[in-house]
Amino acid sequence: MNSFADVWFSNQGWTAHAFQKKTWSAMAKGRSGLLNAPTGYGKTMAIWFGVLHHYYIQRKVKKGKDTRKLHCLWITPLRALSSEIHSATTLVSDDLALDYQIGLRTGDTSTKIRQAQKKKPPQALVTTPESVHILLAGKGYTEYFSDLEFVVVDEWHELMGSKRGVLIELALSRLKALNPKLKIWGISATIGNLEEAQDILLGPENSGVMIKSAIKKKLQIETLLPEVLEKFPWAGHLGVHMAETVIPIIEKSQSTLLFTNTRSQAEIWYRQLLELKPDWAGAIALHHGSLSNEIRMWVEAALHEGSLKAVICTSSLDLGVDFRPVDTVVQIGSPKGIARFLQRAGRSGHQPGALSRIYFLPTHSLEIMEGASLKFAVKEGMMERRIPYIRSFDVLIQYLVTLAISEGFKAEETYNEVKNTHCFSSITQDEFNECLLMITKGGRSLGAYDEFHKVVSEEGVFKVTSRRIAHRHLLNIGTIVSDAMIQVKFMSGKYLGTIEEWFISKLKPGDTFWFSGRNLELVMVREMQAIVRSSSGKKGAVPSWMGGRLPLSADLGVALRHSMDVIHNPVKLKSPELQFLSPLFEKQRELSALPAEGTLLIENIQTKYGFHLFVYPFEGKFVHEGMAAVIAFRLSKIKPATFSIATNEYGFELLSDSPIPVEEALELGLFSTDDLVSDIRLGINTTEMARRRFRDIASIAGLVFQGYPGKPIKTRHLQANSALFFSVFEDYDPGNLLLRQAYDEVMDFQLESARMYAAFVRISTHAINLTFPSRLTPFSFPIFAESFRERYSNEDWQTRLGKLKDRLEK
Amino acid sequence: MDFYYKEELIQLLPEKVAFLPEHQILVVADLHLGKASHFRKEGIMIPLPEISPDLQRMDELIMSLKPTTVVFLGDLFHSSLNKEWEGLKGFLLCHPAIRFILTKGNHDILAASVMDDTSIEVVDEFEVGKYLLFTHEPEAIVEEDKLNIVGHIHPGVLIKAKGRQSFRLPCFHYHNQCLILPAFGQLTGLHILKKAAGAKIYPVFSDEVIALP
Repeated sequence: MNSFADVWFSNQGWTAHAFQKKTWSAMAKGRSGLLNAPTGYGKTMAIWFGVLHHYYIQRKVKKGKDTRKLHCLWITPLRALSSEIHSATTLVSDDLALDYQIGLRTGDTSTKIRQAQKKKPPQALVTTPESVHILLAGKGYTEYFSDLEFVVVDEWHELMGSKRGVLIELALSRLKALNPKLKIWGISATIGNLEEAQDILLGPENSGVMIKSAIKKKLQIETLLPEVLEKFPWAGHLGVHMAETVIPIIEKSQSTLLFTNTRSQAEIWYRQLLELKPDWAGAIALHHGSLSNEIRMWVEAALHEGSLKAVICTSSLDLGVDFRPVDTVVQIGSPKGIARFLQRAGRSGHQPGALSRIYFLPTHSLEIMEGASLKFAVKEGMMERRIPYIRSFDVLIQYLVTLAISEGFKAEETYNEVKNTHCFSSITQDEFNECLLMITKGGRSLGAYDEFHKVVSEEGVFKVTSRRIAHRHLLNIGTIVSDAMIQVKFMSGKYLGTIEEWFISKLKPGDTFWFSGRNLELVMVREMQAIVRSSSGKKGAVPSWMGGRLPLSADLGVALRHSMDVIHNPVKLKSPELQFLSPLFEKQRELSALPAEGTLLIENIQTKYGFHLFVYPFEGKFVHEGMAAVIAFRLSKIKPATFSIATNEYGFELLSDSPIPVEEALELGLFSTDDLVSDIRLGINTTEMARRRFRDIASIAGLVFQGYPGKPIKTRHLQANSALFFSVFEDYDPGNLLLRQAYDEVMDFQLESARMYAAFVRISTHAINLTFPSRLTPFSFPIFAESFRERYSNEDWQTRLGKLKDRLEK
Repeated sequence: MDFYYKEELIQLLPEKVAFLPEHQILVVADLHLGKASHFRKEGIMIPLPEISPDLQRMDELIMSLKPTTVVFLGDLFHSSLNKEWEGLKGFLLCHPAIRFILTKGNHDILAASVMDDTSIEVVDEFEVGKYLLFTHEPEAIVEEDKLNIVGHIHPGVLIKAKGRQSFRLPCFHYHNQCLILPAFGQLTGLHILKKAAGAKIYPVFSDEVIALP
């Protein structure tokens, strides 16, 4: 069937899985497709031998011709995964003494190697979506890719839900135009919309095959319960008070991964564990995305060898790479999604047939319930969908400039290619022309002579002629936007990693902070570097990184609602988590009431902070954000007001400085579906969500120049923040495509307006249970304690400032 | 808001300028004119209205306050020569009776010959009366008794209010014989200042400047 695979598998003493054989056969027939199989079962080899087989069959056919060109492009979301794929595939070529060479090209690859890869391409290149676009920005790319036969997109489910997925769609649209026979293969973990994932990747004209492995991984989930409920906090997300319970687990396991949701939480846990077990120094390690490459590679190598007892990590170790010695996983705090939880569980027990073991460690009382919900969701096979981005004009603008740098593009041709992608299937000629106008004339509405200069059209070919602009664009390619980063270095020059600028700016020389698991003293800040020395102190701030917060997925929300219903049914109350929590539920009942199926609980509470309204729809954080804005809008129609809004997985809070007319509002239909669509629109326009969304859009479209981490570039004369751009666009070009995109993204991704509508429909049939508790309840407290808040107001800026002024003058 | 230094009265106005009624001097910091054009020249699209809104606001201020002297505290023009320069020249020609002074700033990189072409006097520092010293950046050492009036910083203040709301506002900032003016230009950001002991902060509201307690 596949002679290379037969030899290699028998050399290894392995037998091929059915899904591998199916893949080889489909690839031999020249098909494209999507492969869905759990990690650790040879997904890579299923595709790889298909690629090799094709190459050598074809070479036999075109005997004699041997000018080597790129044959296969393998795209992964992570550098770590790229190097893993690179070594695995290189090993096959070595084992079988093949002349098929594999190159690695990521952000870390040296210029020298890049040039060599360009001059004499290897047969296959393992790379990232950003690097593919950098290749498209290089002169001669059409020739470079002219013999390309395969594009393999690894972990496609991960890329699809982000704008990096749009980068892939656009790159594929170009590569398909160069090579109409191009075969595309995706590798994806299980998600709720696998078929859509396949359609988007392969494109409308490409009917591919879907290959699913029948292998089911065995999974064991256990929730770690605190000793007594009474001493367990009602809110909080760190969970360090539970650190002692994981010690016996680490001790009895060969190697344990502890996943946290944020980098700062990982730092804090690392320190806490060492405080409890000082003799573990050297046996446990820390791994997160802000640590230097050197440190991360060291940790990964040590994990492979099995020389580490435990690693505290973040999503930096979520994907791909297999660490065979790992037999236990601990999830600290809510995993926020079923797919992520399973992916992390799958990090343990990598040997085929082994049991994946995961412990869920809740960080506050109500989160214990999530343990029960996760088990339910896994049992029912619930799985989130990944929502692809559509109409991402920021990425399109970036892509057009990318093409203009290298060989230029023709409007008509590129429009047709782009229109064929899922992301831009609904783009109109007018919208495309507006994008062109933005890069050639800097927008539509301009009179008189203007000096805008970016892309010029020479005989119908759009090109960048300025080297400076080309250079700056190259540094800006990609869709991952981060704050300005400061490099943390020792006096000796040893590089530890990066911290966001705002954190360092709060410190004075001599202050200490925790980073990379060490206590460091700030010596000085020089340009974009913070020079530090080791400190023996125990005190110090822990940096936090923006963008670390994930909302709970809607599916986990459904599972939570199920758990909530179970509480009311004592006969079914077998779950240890829910049993454990019953005193807390009792307390809630005593102070207010328990949320129940068919009714919506609303709590109206007054504290020294003001007047609170807590509502519990159990719809997940995204939907709650939108509902809260709509409810705030409807309340403020009765009486102008300003609300601070907090949300969590269970419900939301509106906080006002004056009493909230909730009873009157309920009579007028606070949760009614009448005028809902317009109320959503009106409610959202006045929030600042779009302004925040615009930050990424402005950066991707090249309005805000960031430079690269580690390559700070002097751009003082070109600095302006995105908020400024947002206001100027609103004032002088309100119809701007990028501005509209910001509002659309808010509707589709932040608020999930379709899901929100369904929630309103559901609630409109419910009875309302309005209570007036004397103080915060077990359910309201975690929402109250959320530090991140939205603001809603229909009082104009003047009134609000007036109020503030009055208070200040009093 | 009236601010006194010795016998000198300095009015801090919500238009983000200072006015010295005794001397008929209008003080304006950090216009950063030409910033939008500079961006556009570099391929960064930003909408550019036909008439600079900042110069329009300047016109209105001159009409109502009728100063004899206007002091720009540096960073009048952002970066190199571009189309908006013509707008500034037009503006200056409309006010032939007014003396314009620029205390040179780090963004004022236009050649002297270009500046000579206008009615603006470019100086490193400018003194008024016995006590007032105008510069772009704060002076390291200020003579006893003197008040250094500067721009450059783009000062802002973060005010936390009830109901967990917070506001970022431009402000005037006084500390250690140094009065910092907020930036006047629309395309300028805010630099949030930390509250130092002894500092006085005057946030700018849309219709009034007040003193923070």
